[in-house]
Amino acid sequence: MEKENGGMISPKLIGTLEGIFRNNAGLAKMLVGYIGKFYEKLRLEYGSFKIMDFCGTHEWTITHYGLRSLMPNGLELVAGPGCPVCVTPSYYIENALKLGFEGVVIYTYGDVFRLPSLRSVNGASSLAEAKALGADIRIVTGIADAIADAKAHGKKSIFLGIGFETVASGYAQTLISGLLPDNLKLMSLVKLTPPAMLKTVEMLAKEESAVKGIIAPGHVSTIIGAKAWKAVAEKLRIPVVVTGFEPIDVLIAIAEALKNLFKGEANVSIEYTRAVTWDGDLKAQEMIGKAFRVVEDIWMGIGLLSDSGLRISERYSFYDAFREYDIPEIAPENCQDDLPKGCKCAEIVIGKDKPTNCPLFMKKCKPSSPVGPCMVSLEGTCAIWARFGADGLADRIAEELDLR
Amino acid sequence: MCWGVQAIVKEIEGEFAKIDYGDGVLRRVIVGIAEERLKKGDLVIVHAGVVISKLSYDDATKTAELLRDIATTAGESPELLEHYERILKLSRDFGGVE
Repeated sequence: MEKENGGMISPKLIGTLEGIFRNNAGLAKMLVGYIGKFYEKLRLEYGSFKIMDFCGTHEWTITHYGLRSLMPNGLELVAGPGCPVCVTPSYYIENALKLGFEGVVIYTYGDVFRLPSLRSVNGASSLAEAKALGADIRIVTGIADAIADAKAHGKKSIFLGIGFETVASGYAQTLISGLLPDNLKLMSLVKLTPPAMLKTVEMLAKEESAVKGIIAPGHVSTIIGAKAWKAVAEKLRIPVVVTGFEPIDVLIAIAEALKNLFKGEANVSIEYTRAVTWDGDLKAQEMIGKAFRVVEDIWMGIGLLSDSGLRISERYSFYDAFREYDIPEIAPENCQDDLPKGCKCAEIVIGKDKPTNCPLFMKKCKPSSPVGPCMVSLEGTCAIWARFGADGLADRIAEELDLR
Repeated sequence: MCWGVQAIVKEIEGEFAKIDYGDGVLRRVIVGIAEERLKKGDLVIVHAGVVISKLSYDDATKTAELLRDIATTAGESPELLEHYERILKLSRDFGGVE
């Protein structure tokens, strides 16, 4: 399914897409009819507008299952900055590369392993290249694996902690419960999602087609609760729906957002009741509050955002990689031009542009040889479009079946 | 990057849990939520080696039923449904249903 052939989609995926539309045409028609009905009423007031999904997994569902092709003309589904790997400035990766060459063992998730840095360090432009050149870079699926491994070898090590609130509670647990061995430090690059959501939608407000509804991240909300989105909905005066990751979840969320917009309700609703509550997990929130301090952080494509990042609190600073290795925080002025020439990740991350409008997309920048960060992670918008949606097949099937 | 996978809690060891994604392999992960909320057999979502949520068995069953309806209409048995049903069965077998 991930076969890369210049933007063409593999036969297996064609089968999957056709199966979804053809076999479930009745269900699809029902939901699409519902969405279309509300959109027709809303377009009189708003004209064309956008619904923004924040989470990379939602973008995966929308693109993989061709949900865009089921939307009425004028209602656009756009992806927001929901991929932490895509919004992490290159500066931090470059520091990890430097430490790797100085003999520090670097633990990383698989997608960060491939993330290209803007400036090379000792001839390496990614952790993968650094490993090939002799640095000790180890891929893990979670911090528990790094703890077990670092304990066994006892060498100086760091764990590159990139992620959203979903990983923060796990990291907090390791700090508070003293699970990290003395030789393993955490480089917390955790980012907080609600400030980025607010800023992104505000940045798009001047666009011809504004964002009028938000599909909020389901798994982030299991930790922070649906309540975390209340201020976003009220400030932007648009509905927010917290939803799950099956295609049916996403379609229901779109329908719910349109219904609430029509009723003039700028509120937060939960479709993902099997996992999300209004309050979230209070213990997790308490742990995060204790182990971390909230900082102003830089998001690639968005810039400096107040209260949008987590660094280790003073109390647990013994485990802070920034302190241990004396790594200064990035200065905002050094975050300009943080992307390769021609790369449109900055616009794509905030939903201002599409991957297919990038001159590098599927030409110089492909999943097997990513140039920009959005092509690296499984949940980067470009990587998802490259694998599942580059050539408009879903549109053609939807039109053939008269689904919109 | 918040890809979450459903799993069953097989053992709890303080701040760690051993979980099964339905493939019979036990994996050690960090508990990122209140430990007292967890017990053997619970359905959870695991993200990047961290338990981030306990799923409601009843609501997960409703989702499985919805998927089953779609599958019956379509005359097929999608892999996703099989995964859901395997996980729900495991949870029942390990006493996760209250």
